[in-house]
Amino acid sequence: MPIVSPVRPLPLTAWSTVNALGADTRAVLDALDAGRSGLGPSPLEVTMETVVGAYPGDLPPLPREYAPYDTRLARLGLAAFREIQPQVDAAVGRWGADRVAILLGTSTGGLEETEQAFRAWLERQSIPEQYEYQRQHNFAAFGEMLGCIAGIEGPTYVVSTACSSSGKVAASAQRLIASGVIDAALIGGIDSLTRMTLQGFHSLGILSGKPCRPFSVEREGINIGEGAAFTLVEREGDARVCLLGVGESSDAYRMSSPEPEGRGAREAMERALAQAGLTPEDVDHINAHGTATKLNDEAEAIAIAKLFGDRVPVSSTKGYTGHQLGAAGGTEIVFAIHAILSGRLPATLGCDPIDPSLQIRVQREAAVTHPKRVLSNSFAFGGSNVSVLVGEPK
Amino acid sequence: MKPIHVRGVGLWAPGFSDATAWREGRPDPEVDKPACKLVNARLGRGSSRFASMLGEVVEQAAAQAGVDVRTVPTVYGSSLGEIETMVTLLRMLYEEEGKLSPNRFKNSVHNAASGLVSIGTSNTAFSTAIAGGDRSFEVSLLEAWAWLDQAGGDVVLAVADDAPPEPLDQLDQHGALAIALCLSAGPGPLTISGLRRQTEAPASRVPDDLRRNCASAGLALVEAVLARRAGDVSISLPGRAGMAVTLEVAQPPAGV
Repeated sequence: MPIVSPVRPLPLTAWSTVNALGADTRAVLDALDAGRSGLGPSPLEVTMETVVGAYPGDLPPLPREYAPYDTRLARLGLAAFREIQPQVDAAVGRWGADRVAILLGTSTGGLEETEQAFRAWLERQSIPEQYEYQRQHNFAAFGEMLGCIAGIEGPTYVVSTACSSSGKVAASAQRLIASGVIDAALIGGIDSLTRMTLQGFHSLGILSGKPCRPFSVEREGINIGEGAAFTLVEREGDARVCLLGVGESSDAYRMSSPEPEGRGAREAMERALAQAGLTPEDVDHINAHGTATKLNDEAEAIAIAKLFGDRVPVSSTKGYTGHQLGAAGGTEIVFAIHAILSGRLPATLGCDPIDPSLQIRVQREAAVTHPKRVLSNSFAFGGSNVSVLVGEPK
Repeated sequence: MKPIHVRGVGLWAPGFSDATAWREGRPDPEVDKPACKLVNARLGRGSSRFASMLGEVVEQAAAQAGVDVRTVPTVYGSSLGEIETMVTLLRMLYEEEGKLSPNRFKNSVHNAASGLVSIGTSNTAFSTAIAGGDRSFEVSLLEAWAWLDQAGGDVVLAVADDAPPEPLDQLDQHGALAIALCLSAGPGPLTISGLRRQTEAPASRVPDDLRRNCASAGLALVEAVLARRAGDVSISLPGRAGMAVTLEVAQPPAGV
């Protein structure tokens, strides 16, 4: 049974993100506001034509004492974390180290380093000395390191449900706070580009060779991106934007394509609204999953149209960052917070000409509409759906 | 969190088809792949033994509890996840010029078992997949417990790791094990409460080849449930810092 009774809004007191749009949160949000895409050529050697959302520039290495954890994923994560470390330190001071959790989403873990180690093993029949599966590839490795750096001793784990991972950690945080286990959680997601991900989506025939075009009649598939994003959610605190509700559902349909009528997607959105004690009329903007595959956009549009009609402006930000998979939900929570605080809705890059069969209001151009509440959708392989509602309590 | 109740258990390991066989301690060399009837052959194409292990123990725990697998929420946990599938895809990446099997790729996600079981049983309820390294059992139990605390009803928790395949077995070696618990917010004779930290988990009867398998952190609890033995139970790997719980066993009324 889903949680349907309204839950208490939880203040979102700090956030950060790094991705193809920029090396810090300000740069990312400035690029989003300017309508600038971060998509470009793949830095990884792949067998097909594609564009990706790669982090711009070099990532600083980890501090020497954490060298065994050094991966591209860890560097991305630490770059994002450093920006909000003072607020996290304050939360640890306020609530106690064991009352703060680290709840992260990832779908790749340190796969990029494992790819290199595996290649070396094939060539030389030995695994490189510096490669450590447990502290580099293992999904739990970054959280373990971050706990040491941040002095956090509360529950630390990863939700890995592919592309819904870092949306679902918001629900985990909400439950742990409501159950009295913790008072605050650092939630978010990290994924880095890997060859396997690019080749894998290519094998499914859904990787676009050009910049992706969510909700366009000419859409040809996704672009993969990388990045990291964090949000600090607390039991109490001063914040204009709160976590209002999270809805989770399962499609129970196919492993890699959505239920065509968007049933699971709709249930996730309905449950987020029910938790928040709100109705569709209370939502001012939707940051869609909007991956730009034919089937995903179609199913999501049906789900949105059934619940919201064509009243609510819908943006997809995949044309800026690419699809960051396990980091997508976390990043788009930050984009949702930014929409509320800046009053601006992002344009859906590449959407024109909009698919006329989609009965939703796609946000073509950036606009200042001062949304108070924004819904952020993430849907995944395995039929895992999550919808996160953030904004001002009613 | 409010106390929760154990309604059923599941277990699968090479040589042991279920918890009864495990308790009897008589391995059957024929048992090498779980039956996992929840996922049919067509749906399971390209999926791993690991996913079948999880599906099998979910089915066992739900059946013992009398819970409907078509509606029960599920929490899956693992440290290594779909490691066998990943290594298969890595071979394709480097030995077959990047031509990956789409079936393998879509079953490479950590939540593959969650997806397969939900599809195989048409179950649209809440499901999630957790990774917590060596502490995967305790954090998956925490996720399931918090779900029950807020949502009520039942949930099946399934935690597993398969043996690491070559060449990653050079870095981490252990056998395969999957366990499951059907947990309930409702009343029951087997109550779990008192989730707390412990500085070092006590030694236990975990077989040597499973000492590094994250699922073996739940073996003491499974065995205590099967034996209906009340007391404090570690839910962490032996010798590691982690968590413990208390299992209470209600005695049947006199004359029953």
